[in-house]
Amino acid sequence: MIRTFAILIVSMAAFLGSTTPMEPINPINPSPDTTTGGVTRDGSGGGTGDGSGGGTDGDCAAPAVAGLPLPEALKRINLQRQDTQIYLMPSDIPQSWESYVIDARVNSCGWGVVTLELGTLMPDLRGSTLREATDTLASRRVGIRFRPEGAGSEWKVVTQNPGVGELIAYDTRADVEVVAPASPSARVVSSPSVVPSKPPATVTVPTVEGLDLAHARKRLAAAGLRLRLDPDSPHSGTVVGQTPAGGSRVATKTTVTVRLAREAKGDAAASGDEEPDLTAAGAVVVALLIALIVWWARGRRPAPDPSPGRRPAPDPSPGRRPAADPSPEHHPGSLSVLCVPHSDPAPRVLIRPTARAAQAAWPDFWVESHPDPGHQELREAPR
Amino acid sequence: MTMSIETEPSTADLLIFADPDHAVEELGRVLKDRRMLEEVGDRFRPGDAGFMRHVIRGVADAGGSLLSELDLGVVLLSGWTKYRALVDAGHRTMKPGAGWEPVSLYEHTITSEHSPWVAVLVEGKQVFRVDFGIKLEFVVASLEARVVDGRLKYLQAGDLTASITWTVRDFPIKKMKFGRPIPLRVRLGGGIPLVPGA
Repeated sequence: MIRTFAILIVSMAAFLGSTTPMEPINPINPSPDTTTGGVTRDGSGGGTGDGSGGGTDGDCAAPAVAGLPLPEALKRINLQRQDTQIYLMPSDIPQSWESYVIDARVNSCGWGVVTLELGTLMPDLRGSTLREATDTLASRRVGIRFRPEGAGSEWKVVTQNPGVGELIAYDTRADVEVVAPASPSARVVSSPSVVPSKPPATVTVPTVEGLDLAHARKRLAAAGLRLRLDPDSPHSGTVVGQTPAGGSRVATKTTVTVRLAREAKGDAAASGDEEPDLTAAGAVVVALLIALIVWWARGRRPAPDPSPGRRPAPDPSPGRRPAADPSPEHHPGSLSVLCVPHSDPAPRVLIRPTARAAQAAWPDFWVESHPDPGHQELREAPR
Repeated sequence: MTMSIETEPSTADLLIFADPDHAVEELGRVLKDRRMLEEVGDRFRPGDAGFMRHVIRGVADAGGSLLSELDLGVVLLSGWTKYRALVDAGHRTMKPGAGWEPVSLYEHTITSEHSPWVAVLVEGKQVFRVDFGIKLEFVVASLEARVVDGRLKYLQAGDLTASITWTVRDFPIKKMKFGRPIPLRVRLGGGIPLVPGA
């Protein structure tokens, strides 16, 4: 009974909610000029907003766009206040590059002028030569700093900082540690696949292309395989590539690397990484709240909203909720969480003889040779 | 020819757990019980159990992968190549006409301490760091080695036993002494350089 009621309420909420979908308040010019002097917007957006500074209300808090791709960050800032002047740093990054916001700074309070520091995602340099790593980073406008000094261009990268998939600002330098190609520690970067002395059981790699991450992971797990997301892949979407390919035979517990294709944002929340965790009771409460809010919002308006798809406008009254922590509001249901492992670049390795061995090797007794002095006696000899 | 020292088990996770997935489960349990990631949850999604589970699972997966990437053969080799007698022999055999030198070592212990970590990124920005500790200790009954032209060309080890301690933020996850001797398979190929320029 409760279940039926919950389903009814959820359906009602979905129906009511469908009449008020989120849509851009003011569609953004899809091709902002990011290459001319760093100024991307000059206040010609027309709207003046509600005068409340897009949620920061006169304080000097920067917009919470750090870590976002640049187009999305621009969109968010524009959604909140259209007359913001945005400077990019550096200003001459080609628009075709996939840039991310490293940091956002407010030049004048109230978001009048905002400077976005840009960067890029760190590629996986491990296993590549120092020359390749240098070229790769240079193509992303990032320098390199390596250890040890004097390493050759063919030395292999074993560690990198920032790690794979982390952000690094343009025109800065990444740190890498390299080893000589023949060095034993170079194996650290080799595939972690297990090489047991006896032949391992093999399985056929299932094809996971076309599936979302959660289903791909489940299918691979069912075959005794592990899933690894390609560091350069988006974190949501459907699988468009996998290595090893489907149908090939590999040892069990082998890691299969998959690459995802970006999808519409709504799909991200539906991916397996964001599993809903609502109990039946919780779902009922949430559904009731949503239904109440929607009903109240609709019933409160004297006339139909001229822009029915628009989210209820922010209340300009002083009682408006301050956006002290904008995260939950700005990232409804789709916070991207990534956990990046970093191995210790300089483990402490010691070798010492054990106490027992020391005793055996250097016993506390020894043998010395001494000539026998003999027995001597003086006697008086009779003549 | 690739140089390698292969052990059975080959990686640190298999030294502790029969199934590597157990490492992830065990770590996830400790992270949850010790509330080590609450700071992340409180900051981004207070009271959201689903979000917390997602973060814990992500850190546990990444932490488990750090353990599984630790190759025991590599650890042993880096210990032996630090042995002074071997390095000294490497220097001596680099001289023209020096030939080769045998090097013997009685029972010895190789200790390797690793401090890997997992960075937690939310919306692409690092917000938290989880530090791990992995301490490996091998007791090797004996070692016979041959050094040629500054390179380790031949190596034979006696019985090998191992113990491991895995910690997260100084809290022990698992401590284990491997119950039976670990077989070794050594393939040094062209040899391992013990001194620069070898």
